[in-house]
Amino acid sequence: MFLAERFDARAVTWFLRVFGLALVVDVATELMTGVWQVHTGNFYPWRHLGIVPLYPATVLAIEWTLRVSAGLALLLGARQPKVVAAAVRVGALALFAAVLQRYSNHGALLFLIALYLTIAPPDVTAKTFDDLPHPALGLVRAQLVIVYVFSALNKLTHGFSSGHSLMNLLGGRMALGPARTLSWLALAAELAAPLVLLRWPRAGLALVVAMHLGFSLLLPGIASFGLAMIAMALLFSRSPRRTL
Amino acid sequence: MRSLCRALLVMNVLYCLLAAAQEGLPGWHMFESVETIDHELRDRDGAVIDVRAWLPRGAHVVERSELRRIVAFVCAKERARGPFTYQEPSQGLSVTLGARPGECRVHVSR
Repeated sequence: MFLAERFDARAVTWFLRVFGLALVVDVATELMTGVWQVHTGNFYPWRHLGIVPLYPATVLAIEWTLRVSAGLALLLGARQPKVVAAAVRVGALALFAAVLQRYSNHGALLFLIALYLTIAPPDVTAKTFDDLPHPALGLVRAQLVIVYVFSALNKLTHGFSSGHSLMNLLGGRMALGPARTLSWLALAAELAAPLVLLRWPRAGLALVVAMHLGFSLLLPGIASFGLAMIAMALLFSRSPRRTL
Repeated sequence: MRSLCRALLVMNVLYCLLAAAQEGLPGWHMFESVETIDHELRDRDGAVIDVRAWLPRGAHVVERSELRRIVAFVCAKERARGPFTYQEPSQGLSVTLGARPGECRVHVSR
């Protein structure tokens, strides 16, 4: 279903740009929230997996530079095949290092997208682009479904719908009633998004944008995750020659 | 290329199923279970210490075990302010930390 799909070159161009923006925003967020202090030893090694030692701040500066460079290259050079190929390879390596240093869902998601793109970096200028299937892009599209379905499944099996988790997360700024309603809404949106995207791509994209805008307002600092999901949602745009 | 993508997709789904079933494995766990983490850390003068000051801004501590590791880090970092009193009222826990060098871990005996 996903791996034999054809894609619209314009949608893929925008996917690459938004993904590039997500990479830049992710580094900006880390810069502003004080991740530097983790690597100087002043802060607790937040989300450090312990597989490899925490590297010094100078190495973090190199990692950030590589990730921002990859992001800017995708943002500005999405229609230049060599730039895209180099950006996703550099980005995948730097993101892999970042995930080992501080694991986060958005970090893992950005890494997976970059990794899938390295399999066959898309050349949106190729004349045959719209006519041929792109399994690697199909994998990225499948990743969106996996994230929403498993996030909803984990929420359902851990009692998220009771509203207590959201209430605790917001530090008591919200009463249980509204928290319960919002929790159910979040669950419903996560389960509905893949289906709506497959059937009505534009409505699905609007749903994904609205959902992540809401999440970002409630929980600042996860904007890059929202941007990555929006980028992936763009890949559901219908190609005139798409197989169903 | 399609076989490689198919293999990656299958492995991805299988791993996510495993992570959903096995607590502690990184997966698509997004704030589905956030505990009420009541706690209080005080230095030897009785001043309350906000452990979040030693975390990146916006970091969400969602597990008690992680909070205790952060407390141990703060205790080791701020040894001059010790010994510390650490309490978790809902757990009936009250311990003294940092009375001696290296005694910053929160041990819970049940």
